[in-house]
Amino acid sequence: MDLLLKYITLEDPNVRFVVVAIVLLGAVSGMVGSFNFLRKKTLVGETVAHSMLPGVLIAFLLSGVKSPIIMILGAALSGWMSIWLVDYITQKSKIKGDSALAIVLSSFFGLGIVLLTMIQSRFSGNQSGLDHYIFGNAAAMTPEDSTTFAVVCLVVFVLVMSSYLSIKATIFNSDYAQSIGISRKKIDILISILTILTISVGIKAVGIVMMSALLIIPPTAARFWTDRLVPMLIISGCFGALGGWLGSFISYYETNMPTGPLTIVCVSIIAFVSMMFAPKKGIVYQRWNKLLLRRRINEENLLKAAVQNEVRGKGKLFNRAQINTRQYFEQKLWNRTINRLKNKGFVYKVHTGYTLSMAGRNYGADIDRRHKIWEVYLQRRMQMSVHLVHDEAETMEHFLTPEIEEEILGELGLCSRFNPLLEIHEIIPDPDIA
Amino acid sequence: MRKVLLYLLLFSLTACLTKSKKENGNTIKIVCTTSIISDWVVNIASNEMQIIPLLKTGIDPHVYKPSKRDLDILRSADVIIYHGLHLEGKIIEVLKKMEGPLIINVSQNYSQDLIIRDPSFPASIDPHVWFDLDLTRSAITTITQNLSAEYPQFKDELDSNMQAYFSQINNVAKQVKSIISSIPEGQRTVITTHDALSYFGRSFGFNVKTLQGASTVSEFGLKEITGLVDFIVDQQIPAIFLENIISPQAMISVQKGCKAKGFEVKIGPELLSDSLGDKEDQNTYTDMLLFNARTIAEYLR
Repeated sequence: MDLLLKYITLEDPNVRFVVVAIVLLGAVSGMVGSFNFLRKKTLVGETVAHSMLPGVLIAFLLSGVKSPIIMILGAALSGWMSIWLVDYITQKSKIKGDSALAIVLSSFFGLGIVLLTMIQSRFSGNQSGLDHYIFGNAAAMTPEDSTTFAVVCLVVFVLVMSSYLSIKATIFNSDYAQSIGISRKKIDILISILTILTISVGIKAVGIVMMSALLIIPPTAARFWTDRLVPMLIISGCFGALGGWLGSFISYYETNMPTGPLTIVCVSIIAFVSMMFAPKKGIVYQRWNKLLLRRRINEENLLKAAVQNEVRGKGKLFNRAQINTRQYFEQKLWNRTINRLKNKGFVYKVHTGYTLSMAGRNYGADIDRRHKIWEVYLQRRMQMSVHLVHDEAETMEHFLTPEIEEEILGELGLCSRFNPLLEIHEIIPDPDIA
Repeated sequence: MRKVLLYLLLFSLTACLTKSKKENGNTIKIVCTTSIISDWVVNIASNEMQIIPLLKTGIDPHVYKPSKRDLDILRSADVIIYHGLHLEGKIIEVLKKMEGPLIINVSQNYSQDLIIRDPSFPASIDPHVWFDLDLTRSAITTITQNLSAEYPQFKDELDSNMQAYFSQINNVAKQVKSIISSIPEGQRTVITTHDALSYFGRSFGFNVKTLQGASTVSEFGLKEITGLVDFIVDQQIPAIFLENIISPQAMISVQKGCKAKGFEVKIGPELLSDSLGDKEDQNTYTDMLLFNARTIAEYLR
């Protein structure tokens, strides 16, 4: 508890360095990653990050010193080459985008590993620490790193603000964007610049692997929570920052817990929780929704069948056998459905069977009417054959709202007092009447 | 076309075969994994022996991945000498599969009491034994015995060289002791990036504290860094040291942390741990001992 308080207040200077830097980095890569994610080019970040290794090493070989600025330039250059190469391959050959990304990633990274092995075996002295560009060393960040990330954050923010609308238009509808005079090429270059800028300064502190993860996981998690661009950027940035914050806390709380990998673990947990529990798009919500829908359809089918029995003069009392002549219900399903209807007050139990309540009768009649309206609509407007319309209507009857019903009636030139029950007999021969 | 390819294939096969045949010259090729072993062997070997260090100075043997060229060097050797105790992580795996050359594991006769183990993981052994003089003598004796058994014609020469080298080591040990004893007793704490100096500290009487465990493969987190900063500020330790195989980044952040807490700690030069250095006063085993002692004394005094 003491440690938590100490951590939150950022009392310890090293905690301050790491937390400020990692939160800034998480935020900025979460935002930049969102653009790539929304353009359906999520793996670009991963490819660029891995492709920077040879650039870093060649910069070291040429300059002979481990100057961060020279190595960032090298990284940016080879990152840029990788993006260009991916575009070139996809445009000039039959190779698909994902294969092109994989080819470029593995060849650049392979070249990087070759160079690293070469440097490690041929060069003595000051080469130590080059392998940190792969796995990073997030716990060892200094105030310079925080300053760099803050500047990058600011630059990214300004660049995004300066052409926010063009970026938005290009991401969501690039054909429309081009038709109103926004250069897609320019926006592509802008997003590439943002990506390269973020990764090239990031890999020095946290390494290639963590940078790739920070660009990909937070946007993926954020997408579960929103459908809008600005909230998406904010949520994604917050997730990245939160992951960094939690990861460094665990690393501060427990011994021998590396900060960078823990950050990735925390971000991944956030993504997993989002995938499961986010409202609307989460798996749990969707499963629940599907279950509710299935229940409603069963209830409506049962009510409709009961109403049809009544209309056909089979009496107001019904049981499972009678309903099953129209709509088959297994015993278990029947029990569950009829119990729910009873609880909702749509049916009553009457000694040997069930009978519809007023509300239940109206509800069932609504469904029956919608079924028939849709059949009429399909025949008159869609020129569908009589034999095909029934199956279509079986599904649609559950989804037609009163508004749509009104509209269809209007379009067919019928008034809302139109009684499809009368109309329908000429269209579909009812087995009972025939 | 197919014939040409077949000939090419046959030709390259024969080329491979001839290459792998050992040169039957007079020199005996001895490949040593690190620069430290190779310096030991240089001191005891006869002139007929050619000594090749596999790893250049400044390279971390823990994570080193052998390349094709290294394999060629290993295959062409008559004798291969390595530290063992998991020091050369990947190279040992390669050596296990080697056949032909005489392979000497210098750790085979170590006295188990002298070996430092991680208290929480007794299976993990600190492999940086060359900073313990008894273990070093054991290693050198093992090398000499094995070489004498393989090449009896050099036995006398090897033995006399070894005795001369032992007395040289003893001399240096005395010097190191006197240098370390010039540091006031309360200030004999050496802080480095990597726990390679435990044996050195035990032999010559100072404490060693590090970020990582015994191997560079283990990672450290924020807790280790803040703990070290607190320790330095608490004990008012004047300097921390880098090592020639590890990135200086971690120590820089420790220094910045101390500064933010109002304590200026100097970062000393790189100490030599897993390999010798390039410079004149660092490139032999005895020079390494002296260099480390002088550097530590200079910064901690």
